[in-house]
Amino acid sequence: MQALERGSIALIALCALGTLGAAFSAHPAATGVSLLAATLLPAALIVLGCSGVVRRAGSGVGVLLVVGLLVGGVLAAGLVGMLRFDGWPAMRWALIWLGPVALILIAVAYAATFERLVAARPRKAESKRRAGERR
Amino acid sequence: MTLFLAGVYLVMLAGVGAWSARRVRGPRDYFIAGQRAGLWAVGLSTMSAAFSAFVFLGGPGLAYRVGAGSLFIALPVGFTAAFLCWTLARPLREMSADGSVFTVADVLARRFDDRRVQGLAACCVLAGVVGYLGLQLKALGVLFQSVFGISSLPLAVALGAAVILAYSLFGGMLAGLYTDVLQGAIMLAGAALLCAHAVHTAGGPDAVLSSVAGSEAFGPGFLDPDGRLPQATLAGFFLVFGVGVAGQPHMVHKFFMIADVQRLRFLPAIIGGAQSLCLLVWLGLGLAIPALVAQGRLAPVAQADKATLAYLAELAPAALAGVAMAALLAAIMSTADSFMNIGAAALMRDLPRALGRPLRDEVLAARGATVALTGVAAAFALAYGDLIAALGTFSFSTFAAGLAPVLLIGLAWPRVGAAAAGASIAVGTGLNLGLEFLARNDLFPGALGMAPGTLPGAVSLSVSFLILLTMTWLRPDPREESA
Repeated sequence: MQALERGSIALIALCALGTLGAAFSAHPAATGVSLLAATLLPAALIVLGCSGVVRRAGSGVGVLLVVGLLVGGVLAAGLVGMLRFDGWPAMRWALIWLGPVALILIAVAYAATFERLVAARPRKAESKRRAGERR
Repeated sequence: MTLFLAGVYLVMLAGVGAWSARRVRGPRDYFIAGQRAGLWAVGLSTMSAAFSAFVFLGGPGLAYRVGAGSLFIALPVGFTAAFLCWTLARPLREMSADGSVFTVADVLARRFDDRRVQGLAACCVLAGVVGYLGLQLKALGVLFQSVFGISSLPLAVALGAAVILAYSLFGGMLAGLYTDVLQGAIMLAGAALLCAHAVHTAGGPDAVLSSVAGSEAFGPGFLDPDGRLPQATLAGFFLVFGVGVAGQPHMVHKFFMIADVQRLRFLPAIIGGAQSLCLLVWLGLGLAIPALVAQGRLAPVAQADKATLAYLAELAPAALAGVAMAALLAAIMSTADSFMNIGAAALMRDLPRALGRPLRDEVLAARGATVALTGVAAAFALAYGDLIAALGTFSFSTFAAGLAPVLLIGLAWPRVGAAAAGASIAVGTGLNLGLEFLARNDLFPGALGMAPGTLPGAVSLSVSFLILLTMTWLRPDPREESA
């Protein structure tokens, strides 16, 4: 088993533990933990489910994916905390709906990146081989 | 006008049912539509099966009662389509390629080579189906009461059940798939029109927000991200509806039907786009109805589940009300027929196989089981005196806790064994049912020392994940042993 799967499984366990632990606390920080866990859990599951794709695309992309989703999770958790102000209601709605829109964009960007990288690898290897033959 | 449109729609469904019934040649046609479905058909039918009365009646009703916090159920839609397709669609479709895997329990039986896992998965599916199918029937009853003026809810529920049975009983999933596509298109049109009309009637987005924020009954807190809900509930919604979606058999079942697995990459965009468009009804009506009540143009709604119907009766023009009723019927029926099929397969295919006694004619037995299951679900829904959204959350959670961890991790991690999978399904399902029982008797979450607003589904889903992982870690790695 490789580090990518090990890391994602450990993250899944941490998220489940975090959710369960937070359920026993009424402290405001517990909500942040729950939301962070709820955001990171699908990310870790995607990495586990698509580990073959991530590996083919390169470990750098795998690290980017995890870091990107981690930052997204922290932002999502922080955003909910920050939104408790008496500002312009329409702004709140814009911010709320930015969350899923950002997630869709992240998903599409990652999908496109994977497709390109996975498709590019064999092509790159093939062009190198041909260049070698020409030399 | 409404009656006429509803009548035309029901006749069309009956026609599709009769057409499909003649094309059912065996279990593969009956349970997974012959695996001939195109991408648009799978995408639209996944959306229409996933979105039901829960979205059209329950969502605006919940928003009317608790405010913007209800939208935390809808927010995960931003990523769930891609999440489902990336993690489950390909493995499920590939496992069913040889024509012997028709259900989620079949998948687990093949993956773990264990009949007990298949049996436990079938029990989980049955527990959730009774709740979810009951929800649809109850909503259909409420709708029939409103459209046809029937005073008795049990009679209206029985009439609604008879209509769905009329087309799904003989055509199975083949009829379900084609009617789902038709119903999905109607739902999208209805949701978009309803949202636009409701927000326009209330004076536009600015007027909606200022009316709600300025009223004594609702106030600015109604529009806060958490509305009137405890924050633990919001986090629970996000977890259960974001991750638990992978355990919903009526959604993942559609992946078995895809004809061309190579085109899967386009599926997230189709499902996600359709779901986002359909959720406009939750957002639009959920905000516009409180605004209209605040403006004094709509009487306060006594029963939150009837908020959508009250709006249609009082403020929508006849043509829009007709389209909206057809969309509502479509939402309810498309989900109900999926559950009838899945529940019948669990009862007459998965359970007998788990017991080592497969039935000779599974299609015939499934038709009989469909009727029995519908009766049980209707009785359960009538006895469960709570909001449609509450019944939906409970049923969604049952599937989530029972099946999501074992599907998501079990299919991706070869080390997971049958014992861990079985324990995860059994504990996840049992714990969710137990906690729901405690919650209905005011013993959860307080009596267990948990924070107010904690969702039973969030706890049972987390425990189910932890049991699966812990038992797998404790088990020696078979590959290391064999080496």
